[in-house]
Amino acid sequence: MNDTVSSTIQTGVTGDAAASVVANGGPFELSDPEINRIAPTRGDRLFLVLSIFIGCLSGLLVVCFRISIEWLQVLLLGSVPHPGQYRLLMAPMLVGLIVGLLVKYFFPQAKGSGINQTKAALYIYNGYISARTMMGKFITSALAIGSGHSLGPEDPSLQIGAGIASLIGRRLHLSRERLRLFAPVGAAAGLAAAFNAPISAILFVIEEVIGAWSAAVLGSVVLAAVSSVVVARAFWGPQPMFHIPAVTLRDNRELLAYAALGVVGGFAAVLFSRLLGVLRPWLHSLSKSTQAFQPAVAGLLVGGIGFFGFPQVMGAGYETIDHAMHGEYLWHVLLALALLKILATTLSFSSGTPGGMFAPTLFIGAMLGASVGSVAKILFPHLTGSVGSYALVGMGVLFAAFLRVPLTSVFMVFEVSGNYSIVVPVILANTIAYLISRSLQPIPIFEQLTLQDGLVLPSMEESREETTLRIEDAMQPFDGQIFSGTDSPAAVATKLQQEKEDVALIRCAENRWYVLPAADLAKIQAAAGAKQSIEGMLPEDRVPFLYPDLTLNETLAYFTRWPLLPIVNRAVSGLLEGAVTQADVLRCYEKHVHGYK
Amino acid sequence: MIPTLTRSVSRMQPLTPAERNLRRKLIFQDTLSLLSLMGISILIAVLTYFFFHSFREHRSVLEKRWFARGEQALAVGNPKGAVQDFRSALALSTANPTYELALAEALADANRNVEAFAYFSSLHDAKPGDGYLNLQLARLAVKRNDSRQAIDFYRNALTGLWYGQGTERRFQIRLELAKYLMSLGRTLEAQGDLLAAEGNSLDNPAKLLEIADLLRQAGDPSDAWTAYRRVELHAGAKPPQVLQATLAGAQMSIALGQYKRAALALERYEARARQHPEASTAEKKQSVQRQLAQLQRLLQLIPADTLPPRQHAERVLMDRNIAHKRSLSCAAQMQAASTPNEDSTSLAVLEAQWKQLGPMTVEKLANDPALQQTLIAWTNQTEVLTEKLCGSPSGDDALLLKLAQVPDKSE
Repeated sequence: MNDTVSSTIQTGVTGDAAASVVANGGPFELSDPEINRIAPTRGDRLFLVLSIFIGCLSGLLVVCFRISIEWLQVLLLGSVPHPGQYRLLMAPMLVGLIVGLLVKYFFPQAKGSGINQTKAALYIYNGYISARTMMGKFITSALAIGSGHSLGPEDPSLQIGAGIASLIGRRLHLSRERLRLFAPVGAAAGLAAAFNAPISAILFVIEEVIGAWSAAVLGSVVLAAVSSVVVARAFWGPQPMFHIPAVTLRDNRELLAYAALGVVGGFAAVLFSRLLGVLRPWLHSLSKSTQAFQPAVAGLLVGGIGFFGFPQVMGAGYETIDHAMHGEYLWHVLLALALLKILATTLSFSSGTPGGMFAPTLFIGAMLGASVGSVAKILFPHLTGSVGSYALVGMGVLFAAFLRVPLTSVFMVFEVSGNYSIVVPVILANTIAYLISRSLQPIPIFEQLTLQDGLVLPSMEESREETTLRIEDAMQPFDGQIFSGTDSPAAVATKLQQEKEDVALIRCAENRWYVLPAADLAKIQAAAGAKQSIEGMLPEDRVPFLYPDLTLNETLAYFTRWPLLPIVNRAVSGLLEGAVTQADVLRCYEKHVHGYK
Repeated sequence: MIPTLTRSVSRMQPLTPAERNLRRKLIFQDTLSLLSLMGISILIAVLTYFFFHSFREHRSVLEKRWFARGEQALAVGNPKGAVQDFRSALALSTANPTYELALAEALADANRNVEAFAYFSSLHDAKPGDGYLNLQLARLAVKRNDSRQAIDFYRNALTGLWYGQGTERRFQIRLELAKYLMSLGRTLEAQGDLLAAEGNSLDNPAKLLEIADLLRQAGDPSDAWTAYRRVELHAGAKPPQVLQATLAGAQMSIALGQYKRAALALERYEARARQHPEASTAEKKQSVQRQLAQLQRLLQLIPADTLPPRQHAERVLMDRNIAHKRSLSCAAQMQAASTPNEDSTSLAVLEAQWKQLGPMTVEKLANDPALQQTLIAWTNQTEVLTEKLCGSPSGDDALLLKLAQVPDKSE
């Protein structure tokens, strides 16, 4: 890792150090095998019970985090900020300075949004997130967002949740493997509480953090997300995050307007990604001494946007989203807000100010959506539904195109609005935006950020698209001689010699197969009596049942024992479909890799 | 994950006493850890609770302050200022229905109809059966010229929930809807709503009078007359209301060609006006007197089917003579002006027909009902044509013209 990476990656320990932390100090200094021996089910049970605790604690901490942000907002920016107030300039700048110094000298790992840091904890640091990082994230993000930096609280909430999970797992001396799995569990809990949306949180963690539907962790993720949402709702109430006016698709022709929104959203996401892709590395390349002051400069610039007329872009901007949904702004104001938010978020995020990008993404999407909706309403007043429905779809569009989580984006719209009647426009617009964004910006934003930091984390988008190779892709028709178990060893040997083959494929009792190399056949032939069948002379083991639809890597374990693997039909027991050799499998992998490249 | 095989092997080998002891300790330690975790959770929950509520209280103070400012702004007729204040209150208490309602009302007052509609809509989502919200949405839809939505919302407001004075509010909404329908030219639908409103207001002469006026405006003189008559006969109606209804009822009767009924109504008016001189003005009394005199003369001119044959023939002949005289005078006027046109030609043709009939006697007419009908028709034609050619008539000709305009309805 280079210098940038070491200061950016948020775990605070190296991989080896993390491993040693996990390995040391189990209960009574018991090792994992010892615990497995005396209490083999302990891990499973604790994992589930702790998921609930993680959910509850994450929920409570996220509530505190949100309240802290709001308190700070009232104290620093006033209850309702208006343009022309000097505090709009001063607060983000001064707090930016404090945050910059805190990050530089106390919490270097609190930089960034929190998503990649959680992924790094999962994939690199065995689930280790230090308590200091978690505290730092809480304090610096709350200060930054509360003072008006254009960032959101969701991604830090996700990291706070993951941090809590890591802390609990370590205190309970869970195994390294379970500790790793706890990071996504906590992440889901944190995000669910921040969004008041358990399904979206679960899907996001699966789509972006874990990258696969893993049965080992799914139950715990669900438990933690639900627990945290229950806790959060005890404080915030059960209502959805946004108060959406009536959403209706008045006419199918209106889908054209939603498609246009998808196109606009796709291009906006690309613009946002490109700006981050340019500004963030440039700011990182500046001398180290400037880095503590970058958040202050970003704060001054963002404050300037607020001071000179657009205080709505400051902070997370939920109220503004709400206003846009109620059609309170004209289309050009909405467009200006979207563009200024892109600028403000790029400044805040690139400067290394801790805070998330979920809320700004929702903000930009809502403004663009409401803007497109307002234009559609002007052009086709009788075909268009409420502006609120466009703002709602716009949020999903940016979520799908910028964060590149298409499935989460659809459910997020449903959950934050509590409205399922807009499913068709959401899916249409999100898909268009996602495809545009993918074709113009092949590297997703989270991957782009990890690459900027010099890390190589698994690309979830790539892994979603990976083709799974199956046995049928490598399987060849078997054109050799098939022997019966009742044949004599001598007859088999003679036939093999005639056909000049190296192995004999023998059909045994109960439709099982045995693959006998020619060298072994000679030994059997020497030991066998004149009337003895070959099956009676074979060792007890048989080739396992392998079917054409199984994944190709399932064959690899058997080539040390069997030189050739017969592949059988699932419907007709013992019916031979073909065979694979190790060479076939390797050829298939090679072909796939070259084809992919 | 722990391999299943390892576990099953572990299970197969019984634990030694030392291992059992270790397991007990492990269970105890895990229980202790979970209990401490629970304790920490409870502690954080309590702290969060106080933190949360202290902030909520602070926000509550702020939002109330903004709301009060908004109400003040509204009270001094500054809806734009009120919008800002209510919006600030709402920013501090998102989705607060009271603030949303206040903001929506202020927006509507400030003529920011699109935003007001959006806010009322969101409130309506939460309470789709609320009469007030439906009414506000209907009014905003009227402003947006969305008649379909406006009528739907009006209807929802009629069937919606009203918290207090429901009957009165529904009555007013029905009248508002009827007026809106009339403004759209959908008078038949308006009449339906007015009749429904009438059915619910039989005990209230003031409401009946209002409905009757609207029925008259909606082009339904028959039902309007019924409503006026109800007011006239209503025991609780005040003298001015009775007089107003009687007079309007008489006018409806005239519109319907019910002249005898109209005359009787005017006679009743006069009698009641004498009883309650304070309820009518001298001007109105004189006007009624004039109308009554005209009606009485009109009744003398009408060749009613109920008259005996001779009397009927006399009336027909009298009317024919009046009309003929008017025809001759008009023809002379036309000749002087020498402006022939299609109507003047028709008048000439009519005059030729009159001449062709020759002198007419009551006896001749009384025995020839067909001739009577021909004469009535020609009389009507003459009055209509002369009005077109020579302007509005006066006196008996004016009355005959009135009969000619509604020949089938006349009594």
